[in-house]
Amino acid sequence: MMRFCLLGTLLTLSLTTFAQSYSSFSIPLALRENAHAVIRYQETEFYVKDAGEAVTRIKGAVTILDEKGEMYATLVIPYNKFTKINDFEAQLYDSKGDRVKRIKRSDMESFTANSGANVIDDSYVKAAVLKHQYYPYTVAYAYEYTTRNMMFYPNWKAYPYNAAGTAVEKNTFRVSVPAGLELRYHEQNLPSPVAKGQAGGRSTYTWEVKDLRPVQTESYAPALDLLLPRVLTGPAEFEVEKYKGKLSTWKDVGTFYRELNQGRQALPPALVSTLQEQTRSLNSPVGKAQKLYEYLQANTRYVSIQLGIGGWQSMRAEEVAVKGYGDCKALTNYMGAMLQAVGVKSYPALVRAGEDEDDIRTEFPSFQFNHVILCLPAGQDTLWLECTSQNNAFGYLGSFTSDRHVVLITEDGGYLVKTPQYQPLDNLQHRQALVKLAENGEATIQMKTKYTGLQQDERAGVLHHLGADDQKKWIQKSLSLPSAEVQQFVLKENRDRIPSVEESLSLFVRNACNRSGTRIFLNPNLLNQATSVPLAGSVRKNDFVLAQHYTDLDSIAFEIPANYAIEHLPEATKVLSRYGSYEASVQVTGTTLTYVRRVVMHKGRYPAAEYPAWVEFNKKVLRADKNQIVLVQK
Amino acid sequence: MRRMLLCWSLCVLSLAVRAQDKPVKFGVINSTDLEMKAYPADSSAEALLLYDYGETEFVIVSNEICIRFTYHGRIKIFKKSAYEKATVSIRYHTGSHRYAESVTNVKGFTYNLENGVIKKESLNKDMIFNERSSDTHSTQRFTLPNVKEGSVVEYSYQVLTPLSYYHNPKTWTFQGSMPVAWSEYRITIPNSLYYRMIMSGYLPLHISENKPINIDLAHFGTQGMAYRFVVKDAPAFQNEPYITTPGDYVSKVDFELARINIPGTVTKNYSISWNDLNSTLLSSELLGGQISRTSFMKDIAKKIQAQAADTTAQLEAAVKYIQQQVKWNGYTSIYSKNLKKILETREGDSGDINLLLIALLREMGYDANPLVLSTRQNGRLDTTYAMLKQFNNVVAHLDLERKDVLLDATDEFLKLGMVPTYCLNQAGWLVHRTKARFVPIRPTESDREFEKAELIIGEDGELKGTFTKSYGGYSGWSAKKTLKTEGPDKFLEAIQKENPSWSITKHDFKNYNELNQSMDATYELSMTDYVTQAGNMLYLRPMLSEGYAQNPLKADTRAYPVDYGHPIEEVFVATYQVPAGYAVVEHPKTAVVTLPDNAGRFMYVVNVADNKVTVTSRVVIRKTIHFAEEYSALKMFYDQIIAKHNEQIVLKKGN
Repeated sequence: MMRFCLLGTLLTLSLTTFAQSYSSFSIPLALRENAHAVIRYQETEFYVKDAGEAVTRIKGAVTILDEKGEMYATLVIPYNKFTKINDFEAQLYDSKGDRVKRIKRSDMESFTANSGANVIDDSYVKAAVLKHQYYPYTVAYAYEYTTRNMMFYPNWKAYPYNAAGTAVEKNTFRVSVPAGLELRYHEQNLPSPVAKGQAGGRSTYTWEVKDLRPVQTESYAPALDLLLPRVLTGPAEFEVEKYKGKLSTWKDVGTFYRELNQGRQALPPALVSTLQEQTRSLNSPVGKAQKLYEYLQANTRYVSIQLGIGGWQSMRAEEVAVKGYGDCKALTNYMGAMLQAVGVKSYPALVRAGEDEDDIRTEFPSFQFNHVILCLPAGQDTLWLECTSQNNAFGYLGSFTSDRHVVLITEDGGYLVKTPQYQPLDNLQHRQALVKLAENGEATIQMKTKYTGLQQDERAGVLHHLGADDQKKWIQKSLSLPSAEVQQFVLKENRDRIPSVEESLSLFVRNACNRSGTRIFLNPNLLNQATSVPLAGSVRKNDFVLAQHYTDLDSIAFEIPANYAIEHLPEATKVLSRYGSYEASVQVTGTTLTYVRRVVMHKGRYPAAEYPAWVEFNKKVLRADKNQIVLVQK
Repeated sequence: MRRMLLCWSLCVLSLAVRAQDKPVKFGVINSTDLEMKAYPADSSAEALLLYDYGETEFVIVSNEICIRFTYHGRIKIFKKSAYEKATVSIRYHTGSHRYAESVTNVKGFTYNLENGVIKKESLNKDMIFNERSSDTHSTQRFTLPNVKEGSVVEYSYQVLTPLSYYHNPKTWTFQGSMPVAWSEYRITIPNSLYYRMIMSGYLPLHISENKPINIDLAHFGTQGMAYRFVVKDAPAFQNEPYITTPGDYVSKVDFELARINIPGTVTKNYSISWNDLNSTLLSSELLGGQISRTSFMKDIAKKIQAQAADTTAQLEAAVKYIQQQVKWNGYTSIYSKNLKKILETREGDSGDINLLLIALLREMGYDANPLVLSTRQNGRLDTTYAMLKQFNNVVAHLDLERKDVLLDATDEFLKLGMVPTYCLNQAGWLVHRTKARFVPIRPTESDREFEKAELIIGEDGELKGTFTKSYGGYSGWSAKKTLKTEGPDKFLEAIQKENPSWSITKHDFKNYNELNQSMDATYELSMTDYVTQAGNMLYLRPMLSEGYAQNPLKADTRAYPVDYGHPIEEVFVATYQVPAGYAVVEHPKTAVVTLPDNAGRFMYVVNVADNKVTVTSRVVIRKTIHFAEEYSALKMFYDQIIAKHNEQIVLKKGN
C-alpha cells in the first residue's frame, strides 16, 4: 500500500508544482558566459520496483540561449519492447517566463531508431520539438517511463549529454531501491559524493551538482565522457524476461552472458562432419582455426539484428548455418561452435568496439559493450577473431577492437583481459619513389608504398569494396599532388597476422616543381606533408591524446634536369620528443637527389602541461616538411 | 550538341504492338548466370542487376482505385562488398485505409552453384521483418539467405497505393549504383486518367512499345494503354563533384497526373500546359489562396511604408521584418497551409516565409508574385513539360522597372535581390494572373574574394605587416553566416588553423552585419613559412598560402557539366618591402591565361619598383556552367594558375 501511495504522489507531480520562474534573466551571469544553453534544473529519479522493473522520472527546464543550444529544444525518449512511456508533458516559455506553448504525450511523434539499411531493429524514439523564434527561451519537461530490462541502470551525467557549451544551475539524480536490493555505483569526478537515506523500507542515493560552468572542448583532449562528472549505476541482481542475473563482478557479467546464450551451439550433423573432414589433415589448432575462419568468411555475412533479450541473446548456430547470416553474437557463437566441432577451444569476448570509443570503465563491472569477438586462448599466441568481417585477415582486429579491455566468457564466468596493441612498426607506411623531373615542372613518378597494420585498414577497404575504376579515382583523390594522372596502379594485399597492402603507382604530374625564370623550386616532400598543427591557444586545461602508434618512412629519389645545378639544399632536420621523432635529409649522388624522411609517433595520453611542447614539435615538423631545394640553370 | 540530355517525348514512341511475356520467369534460373565470374562490360562491378522489372497497373480494391506496383529483381553478386544488396527495405505509408499502402507477396530465392549443382533456397517468413519507421510510415525489410560471392539473389513484391494517398506512379530509374543488364518497366494506364510521362537521361531505349488494351476498372472505364520500355546494359551511374544533382543525369521515366476524365462525371484538370499549371497554383488554397488574403498584414505594411522612404528601403524593411518574425526550419516548399498562423508560430519552411513576404509586399502595394523553382539538389527545371512536382521552392518576384527582382526572407545574410546558392538553378516559373512566364534565375552576385597584403621582408625570412581579406557576394554571404553562427573566436581559429605559420597579433572583423558591403577581415601578423633563406639569397613565395596548390578538378575526364552556380572572382595584391642591401635578381613574368568565349581569365603581374615588389593575381570564372567537352580546358586553366602561383621571387644581398 505504501508503494502505491508513493507512486501516486509522484505521478501527480506536474510541472506547475515547481512554481519557479522560467525567466531567462534570472540566470547568473557567470553561467551564461560561453554557454549555448543552461540547464535550470533537472531531476532524474530511478525508482526500482523490484529486480525486474523500474520507473524513471525526469523533470527539468532548460534555457536555450542561441541556435547552438537548440538541441535541447528536441525532447527525445527512446523506447523498445522493454520500455513503456507512462507520461509526458512539456512547455515552452519565452525569455520573460511567459508560457508560449504546452504539449502532451499525444503530441509526440514516433520514429524508428534504426540507423542503417542492413539493420533489423526494434528500437524507437518518441520525439517532440519546442522551438521559439526568439532567444533566449526555456523548455520545461516532465516524463516518466517504465523499464523491464534491468541489465542496465542509468548512467547519469552532471552535464546532460556531456555536452560542451552547456551550463548547469542544478542537476539531481536519485536512485531508490527496495529493501533487499543493492545498488552499485561508480562516481567520476564528482564535486560531492552520494547522500544516502532510508525511508519506508527503501534506500535512496542522491547526487547533486550546482552551478557548473559550461565546458569548452579542446582538440586532442580525452572524450568528455571521461572528464565530466557522472555516476554509473548498476544492480547487484537483476531480471530480464525469464532470466535472472547477478552483476557485481566481471565474473558475473560472463556468467550471465553465458547463461543467456547457452544451448545455442548445436550445428547440423552434416556440417559437423564436413568441417571435421576439411580439417582432418591439419594438426595445429591454429591451422584448423584458420581453415574454419576462411569457411566462415566465405559462407556467412553480417546483418545487424538487434532483437532478442535487449540485443544480447544470439541466434542459434544451426540457424546461422541455414541462413548464412547473423549479427556479431550469432556469427561469433557460430564460429565458436564450428571450432568446438573440430576440438578447438574458444571463448566469446564482449568488447566496446569502435575506433573512437573509449575503453570500458574497468572498475565498474556492467554491460558496457556493443560487440562480441572470439578469442582462442594460447598464452603468448592467443588469437583473436573478428567474425563479422568477410575480409579481415585471420587474427587481425584493426582499430575497431584492438588495444582495449574485453570480458572473456568462460566456463567459470567472465575475465577481464586486453586485446593486443599494435606497435609503431606494426603500423607502417613505407614509401619508395623515383621522380623524373622535367624542366617545365612535369614529372613521371614510379612509386611503391607498403601499408601495414592500422595504416593499411583504409586501403584494404578500398581494395575490397571498390571496383577498379573507383579504386583509381580514390587513389587520385588521396594524392596530395598539385595535379596528377594515375597512369597505372596495382593494389596488392598480403593477409598476414599483421596484414599489409602494397600500392604501386605510375604517375604523371604537372607542377611537381616550379620553374621561375632560371631557377627550379622543388619541395622534396611531395607526397607526405604535414598540413596542420594543433593550435597553441590559451592555457591548456586537459591532457592530450595521440590515438595511434605509427611509423612513416619515405625515400624519394629525384632525377633532376641535366642543365641545372644545385643552388640550395635544406639542412638535415632531426626533431626528437617523447611523443615521437622526426628526421629528414637530402643526399646527392650525381644528378640524383634522395630525400629521406622518417617519422615515428607514439600512442598515449600526455599531461596538459606538455601541450606546448607537443605543439612546438608539430611546428618544427611542419616547417621541415616545407623545406625546398633550389636548382639553377647551369 | 551542347546539351546532351536526350528527352524522348511520347509521340515518338513506336506503335509496334507485340504480345510480350516477361523474359525472365521468377524462380527459374539458368546456370550461365551462376557461372558468370565478372560482368564483361564492367569487370570492376561488385554486383550486376541481371533483371530489373517493374510493372504498374491500376486496380480497384475495396471500392478504391489504387496503383499496384509489382517489382521483380535478380542480382548477381560478384564481391562481398555487395552483400548488402541482399537486404531490401520497402518503405510504405500507413494510416487509415484510404491512405494506407500495403506491401504483399514478398518472395525471394538465393541461388548458389555447389559442385556444379544449382542450390535454391527460399526467403522464409522469419527472414522478413516489419518495422514502424514513424507515425506515418513503416518499412518492410527482408534479407535473403546464404549469400556468397557468385550467388544470384532474386526477389519480388507488390506495393498497393490508394490514389487518394498518392496519385503518381513512382519514378522508374533505368540506372543505379550497379550496372543493369536488363531494365524493364511496364505501365497500363486507363484512358480516364491522363498522365504526363517524361523520360530523361543519356541511355537509349532498347524497346519502346505501346498498345491499346482492354481493362476492367469499374467507372474508370474499359479502355487503356499499355506501355513497355526496356533499357539494356545500363552502366552504373557515376556521380561527380560540381553537379546539381545525380537525378538530372540518370535515365528515368517519371509521371504526373494531368487530368482525370471519368465519363459522366466532371473532368478534373491538374497541370498539363504551363498555363494550366499556372491556374492550378493560383487556384490552390495552399498557394494562390494564401496570398489573395493579405489584410492581416495591413498594420505592419502601413508602418513600413511610413518609416521607409524609397522602394529599396521599403523592400529591405519588409524582408527584414518577415525574416525576424519567422524562423526558417531548413525545409523548402512552394506552399503554406495558413500564413496567419505562421506569424503566430513563428517558424516555417520557405513556402510559409516567402508567401508571407509576398502577402506583406502586396499589402504594401507592390505587385509581388511567387516564383516557383527547383533547387539545385532537386534537379534542373525541365521547361518542356509542365510538371508541378518539379518545384520544391518559392521566392518572391517583383518587376521593378522591367527588371526581375527576386527576394528571399529565409536567410538574414542575403543582400536584397540575392537568392541562396541552392536556388541558382537556371530558371523558375512566375505564377501570375496575367504575366505568368519563365524567369531566368541569374546570380546577381559572384563569389568574390579580395586579398591585400602589405608586408616587410626581414633578413631572417620573417614577413611582417597586415593582411586583409574581403569577402564579397556569395563568399561574403557564407563568411558572415560563419562569423555569426560560429563566433569571431572560432572564425579566427579556423584562419589560424589554415595558416599554421601565422602569428596574428591583432585582428579586426568589419561589416559583418552590413548586407550591402563586403565583410573585411584584417590581421596584423608575422609569417615564417614563405621565405627560404640560403646564404646571401632569399626566396620568397609571394602568393603566401593564398595561391592554388592543387587542382580542384582531380578526375582525368568528365561525363557531366561542371556547374559552379555563380561566377567566381579572386583577387590577390601583395606589396613586399625588400630588406636593405638586397635586390630582386629574378621574378616571375607577367602571365595572362584565358578560357574560350571569355569564360574565365587569369592575370598575374609582378612589379618591382625601388625596394618594393608588388604581386597581383586575378582569377575570374565568368561562366557558371562548363560542359563536359570544355572540362580539359578548364582543368588546364587551373594547372596554369598553379604553375604561376608557385613561382618565387629571388632576392640577393649586394656585395
